Order: sequence, then structure tokens, then C-alpha cells
Amino acid sequence: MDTFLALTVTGLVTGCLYALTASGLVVTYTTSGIFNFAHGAIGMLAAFSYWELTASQGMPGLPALLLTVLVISPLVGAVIERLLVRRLGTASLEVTLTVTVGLLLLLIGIANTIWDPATPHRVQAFFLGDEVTVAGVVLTAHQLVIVATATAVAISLWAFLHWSRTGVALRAVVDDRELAALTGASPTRVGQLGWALGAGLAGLAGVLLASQVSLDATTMTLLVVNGYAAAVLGRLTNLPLTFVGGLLLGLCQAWAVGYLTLDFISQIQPVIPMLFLFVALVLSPQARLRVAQTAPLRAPSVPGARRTLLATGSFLVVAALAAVAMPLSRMGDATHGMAVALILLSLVPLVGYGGMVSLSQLTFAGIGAVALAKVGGGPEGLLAAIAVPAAVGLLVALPTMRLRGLHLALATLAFGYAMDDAFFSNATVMTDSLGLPVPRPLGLDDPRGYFFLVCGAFAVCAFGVLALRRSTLGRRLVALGDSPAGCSTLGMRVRRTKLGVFAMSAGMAGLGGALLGGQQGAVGSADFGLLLSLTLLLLAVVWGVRTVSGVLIAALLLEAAPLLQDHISGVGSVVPLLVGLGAIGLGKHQNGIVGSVVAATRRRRAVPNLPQPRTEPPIREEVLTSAQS
Amino acid sequence: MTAPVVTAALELRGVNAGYGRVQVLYDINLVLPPRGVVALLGPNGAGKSTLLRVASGRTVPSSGQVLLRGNDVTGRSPERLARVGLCSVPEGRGVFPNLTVSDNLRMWTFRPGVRRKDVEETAYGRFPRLAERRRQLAGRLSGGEQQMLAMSRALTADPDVLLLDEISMGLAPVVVAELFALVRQIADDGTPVLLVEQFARTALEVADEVAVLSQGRIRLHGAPDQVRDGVLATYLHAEGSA
Repeated sequence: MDTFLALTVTGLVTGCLYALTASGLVVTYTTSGIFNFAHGAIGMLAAFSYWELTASQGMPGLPALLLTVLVISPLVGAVIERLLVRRLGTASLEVTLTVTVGLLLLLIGIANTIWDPATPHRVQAFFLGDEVTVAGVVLTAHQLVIVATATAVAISLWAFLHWSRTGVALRAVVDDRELAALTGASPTRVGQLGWALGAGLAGLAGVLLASQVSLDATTMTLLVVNGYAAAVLGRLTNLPLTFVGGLLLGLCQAWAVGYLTLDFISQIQPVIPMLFLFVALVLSPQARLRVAQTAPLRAPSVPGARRTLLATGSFLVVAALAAVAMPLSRMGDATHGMAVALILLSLVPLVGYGGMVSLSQLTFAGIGAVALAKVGGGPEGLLAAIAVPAAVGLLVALPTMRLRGLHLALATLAFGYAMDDAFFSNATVMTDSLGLPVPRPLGLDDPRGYFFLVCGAFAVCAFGVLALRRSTLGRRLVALGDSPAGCSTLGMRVRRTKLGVFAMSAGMAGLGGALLGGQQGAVGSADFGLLLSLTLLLLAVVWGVRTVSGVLIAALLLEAAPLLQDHISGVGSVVPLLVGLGAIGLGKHQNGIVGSVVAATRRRRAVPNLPQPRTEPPIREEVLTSAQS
Repeated sequence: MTAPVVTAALELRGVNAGYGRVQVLYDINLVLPPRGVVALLGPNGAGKSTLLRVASGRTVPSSGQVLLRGNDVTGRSPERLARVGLCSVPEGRGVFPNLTVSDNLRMWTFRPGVRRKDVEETAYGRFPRLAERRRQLAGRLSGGEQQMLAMSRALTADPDVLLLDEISMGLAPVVVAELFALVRQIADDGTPVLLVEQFARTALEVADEVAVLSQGRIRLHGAPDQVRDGVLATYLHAEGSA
């Protein structure tokens, strides 16, 4: 009984932290309609600011806390709203998602630049050393502070939203933005307030958490992924339910840690928030099908069969020449780059055509590599490297199919996060501390031959992707991105199409991962990290995830970055910054750099042929009279 | 039509407007006199709602001016216009469906000088049904009750100009008659009303002046009796082509 009480209490404390973060997330999401993937990064920034103020500048705890939570964090939120969110308006999920994920990377980059990750930063708990015993359970004063703060925040947030006119306006803007403006409440100012409030809550959770964990930019940022589960239980909009979700999640985690056997637990514990999220997804009510995209976007033109064949052929010729002519020392990098290109290519049908976003594509690649390693290098190994990730992808995507695209992104994120800890770092899976040895598929040990094999795999897949885009299925996909409701009224099996493409994309990523593993000879947990997944996704989107050439360029540039670093020091740490910035700039160029360049050259060519702008409205009388006669 | 001494409550001067490349309104000149009801009629897609969007600041005209009581307010945000007394009830949804009735009334108090207590007194006094349902979500009310709630904004905010977009849409004839009686009363109390309607007959009865919009232009303008015969013809695009 005592253990139960003790576990319950620690669970509640953790749950309070989850509830705080998740409620901040809900506030920003409801007021601006944009799910802030950088929420954790804001909390992380607040934790570091708090460290800077207390440990570095010697400020006492309470004023530092107030300054961080009431001034710095809300300011960060307001600035983000002003510079980024307002410009996004009614952009598609894929764009809002990449912009906030870009922001996440940018903030991590900033934090790592200011606060050297190599030196440890420690934050003292509040009232260090003070303890209270409640019903036989020893509580630190800090834990009491957490519980008290969370309770106070929950109550005052509710009171604010329901009793103050500004709070009512916040909810009104969520309900009907335009009508709110017509009553005289300013939706932009309300949106800014929502972001400031959300960032303040993120900051509060960050500072309270800071003394409980080691202060590391990436870890702290990703810890919030756990809070997403609570927000999803609250359907991303319901604050009381979100709070309950946070507490439940904390309790589940604590009880699991306490009651499941110790050996087993160390492996399963990171998976609990993901399981919780999946349960919450299954419990969520069916989402209404979107009718049509608000901002129509001209997609890049699709090359015809002849052009595709020609391009694939010439690509293979170039690859063959490179395989023969390239110095052996560069062969490894080039092969690696082409394998990454294949992983990025898997995003084209998914994100580029279908408008679905997977935030953990590298996780599927990693599963592919592990599958190859376990089955062996023969053809059956390659088959497993495609089939296993595809099957896992099906499982991950399945619970989200009734819901909106955002839920799929959240599920993949939670999946990637859980796999980071539970699978790729797991000794039973990876067997060797130096990494899991991966054989070269088909016994191609010659580096030149292997390079050509990877290029060939890319060429075949690229050809397949473009053929898919021209096929009925491809048109279905694009139509799905435009209007799921329209598709389902036409009798299309929306979920089956989406699931199929997701599985196919995961399989392609798995093949890429297997080839990557074969090139490296061994894979470790660092190869398929969640943060790297995010970087890759952003890179692909920035260069143009709707085009094959876009992702090819993205992969080759990624490979070239370390080469640059040999010549110019410090480029390596700048890359995430640049990627983040690039993604943030995406608001305007939604087809990516390649798409924009192609469109610009097209436009220049097409200018003389443009029809003169009409000064008169189209005349309908003729139609009418001719119909009558 | 307006005597030069009297400033129009609302005036559109040479307004061209549209969405992106699609132009919807062409050279619109429209004057809302300081008293009375102007009905704006026209077929589907004529540009009626766009005209109201321009007047309420939700769409910025590509050229031309919007004047509120003689002041140029072109390009002002809708919330600023609302605060200075322009009350606009948008098409079919003048209430916040996920807010309770009393929260909705709270939202009517953003105009400076409007007090919560007065709003509730007026609204509940005029529509006792709303008082019974003050804790209910507005989205759960019947269509007629929702429109009452929406109209209570016009009653309580003491607007200088009232813009109404198809308030009769989807409502029972009895309720429509009640609503139009209310509009007439608001106008008689001194608030000028610009009323957009797709169904001409009801609007012609309540209006003092009628403008007919078709294909983005004002085709007819005058007293209801003068335009009555021309309305149908304009709806069928028969005018001017012969």
C-alpha cells in the first residue's frame, strides 16, 4: 500500500508537469489553429534563461522564475506569433508543421550556440532540502511547488477563460475569427495573447522541470512529446480533459515503473506515452472530413513518361560514370548520400503528393536496416527491409486514419521518440555496443559496385514514384490532399488509399535505411535519431518535397555539408540553423526552392502568351439566350 | 439622391473589389442615408456579400473609397470599424456557436461605452427566451433564437450603421416576418440599415430604398415601387442586352 501511495504521488507530480505543458499547447493551438511543435523548445529556452539568471547572474530563485515565466517566455511567444504565425494564415498542415518544426530546430540551435552543450548546466530545485511527509510519503518541497503551481494555473486559467472578457474573446476567436473581429475584438491581438500565454505555460513547465533533469537542449525539447499525448486526450481543445490526461499519463508511467518487473521496465518505459497517445487517438471522435484546401497551390508539373525514362536513363549513365571515375575515398560519402536521397524520396509520395506528414521517416529507415541485419544480406533480407517497416508503418498510421493529418504527424513523432529510447538504444536489439553490424545486400562488397546498386535502387524508386504520380492512384492522392470530403463522396476509399501510401513510403524508407546500413557496415542509435528525422524532413520540404529533383538535391547538399566543414570551421553547427530558417521562410515558397525556380523560369517564358487582363466581367447573357433558343 | 448638406451614414465611392485575380465588384457607388432601410438585392453570385465585406472592412477594395459618416475609412480593420459603431451581422452566423448565450452577450461589449449589464437587460428584456437559455451554447438554440441573439447585438450596441447579410436564410416565414419587423423598428429608432437579401419580396416590403446588384454592378436604384418591375428582369440579366 505504501508503494502504491508513493508511486501515485510521484505520478501525480510528473502528471502536473505534463498537464502544464499540454495546457499551454492547447491554448496556442486553439487560439491560432497552429499546433506548435516548438512548444518544448520554448520551455527549454525558458529553463536555460532561468539557469542564466540564477546560476550565472546570481539572481535569487523567485524573481528569476517570475521574470522567466511572466516576461521572457511570453515575449518569445508574442514575437513568434508576430513574425511567423501571423504570416501563415490558412496555410496547409504540411506548411504550418514544417514552419514550427523549423522553429524547434532553430531554437535548439540558438540554445546550443549560447549555452555550450559540452559544459553541464545545473539548476537547483526550489527549497532544496526541505521535505514534507504526507500520509507516510516523503515529498520534496519542489514537488509540492509543482503540484501547487499546476493547481493554481489550472484554476486561474479556467477562471480567466470564463470570467474575463478577454478570456471570452479568446474562446470566441477560436469559434469564429471573423465574427469576433466584427464585434470589435481584435483577432490578431487575441492570437498574440494566446501565443504569449501558451509560451508562458511552456516556460513555467520548463523551469519547474529544469532541476529534475539534466539541462540539455535536445532532451528538454523532446520531453514535451510526452505531453502531446495529454493534449490529444483533451482533443487538442479541451483544457480540463487535457489536465486530466496529463495526470493520468503521469500516473500510468509511475505505476508501470513501480509494478512491472525491473528488467522489463527499463525497456518498455519510454513506450508508455506513445501507447497512451495511441489509446487517446483511438478514443478520439471521428474528425470531420475537410472539404477543400483554403489556399489553392499550383503543384509543380509532372514529367511525362518519356521525360521520366530519359531522365532516369541519363541519371543511371551519370551514376555509372561516377562509379568508375570517382576516387575511392569519396565513394563512401557518395553512397551514403544516395541512400539518404532514397529515404528522402520516400517522402515525395507521402508528403509531396498526399499531404500527409511523417515526422519519423528515419525510424522506418532504421527498422529497415535492423531487418536487413537480422535476416541477412540476401534478397530475402532486402525484402524484409521493405516489408517490416511497411508493416510497422501500417500499425502506426492505422489509429490516426479517422482523424486529421495532424494526428498522423503526432503519432509518428511519438513513435519516433519512443523508438529512439526503446528500440535503437536497446541492447537486445542492437546486440553490440558499437552498433549492429549490417551486411551489404546481395554480397556487393566492391564499393563501386555498391554505389551503383544504391544509385540503381534510387533510380528505380524515383521512376516508380513518378509513374505513381501519373497513375490513377497518384491522382487520387493529390485529390485527397485537396479535398478528402470530395474524394469520399466520389466513393473513394480514403483510408485505404492513405494507409497504402503510408506503408509504401515506410517501406521505401526502410530500403533506404538498409542500403545506408550496408554502406556504413554498422548502425547505432545515433543514426536514426528523431531530431535527424526532423532535419531531413525539413530539408526535403525546403528544397521541394513535391519533386524528385528537389529531394535529390537536398540529400546531396546534406552530404556536402560535412565536406564544407573541413574547409570552413563551424559550418556544421550552422546547418540546423539554416534548415530551421529555410523552413520558416517556407510560408511564401510552398513548392520549395526547386519548385520556385522552375516556376520562375516558366513564368518568364510564358509572359508573352498571357491573355490580356479582362476589364469586363464575363458575359453570361449569350449562354442564357443560346440555352433558351 | 441625398441632399448635399446631409452626410451619408455610409458611402461607397467607385469601389472595385475582388479576391486575388477574380474581380467581383465593378465601380460601385452606393449611399446609405442617415435614416431608413436600404435593401441590396441581386441573384446568387452578384457580389452582395462582397459589397458588405468591403463595407465592414473584411475585404479591402482594390480601388475606391469607403466613407463612414463622411470619414474615409478605406482599409480600416473590421474590429476598428466595429468599435466606432459599425455593426455588421454576417450571413447565417451572427453568433458564436460554442459559447453560451451569456458569453455571446459578453462579446457584444467590445464597443467602448457599452456595458455588460445594459446589454443583458436589453437582450433578455426584448427576447425572454434568451434569458431562459443563458447558460446554453448558442449553437444549440433554434435558428430563430440564434438570429434573435445575433440581432440583440444591433439592439444593444447602439450602432451608427447596421449591416445585415441575409438574415432570413433558412428561417421559417413566421420568424422572418418577426425579424423584419424588428429591422423596421431599429430603422425607425434612427439607425440606418443596409440589408442584403436574395429573396426580393420580403425585402421590398421593409425597405425605403432598393439597389439591385448583378454581375458586380449596381443595375437599378430607387424606391421599392420604382424598381419592383425591374428586379425580376435584372435577376434574369435581360436588361441592357436588347
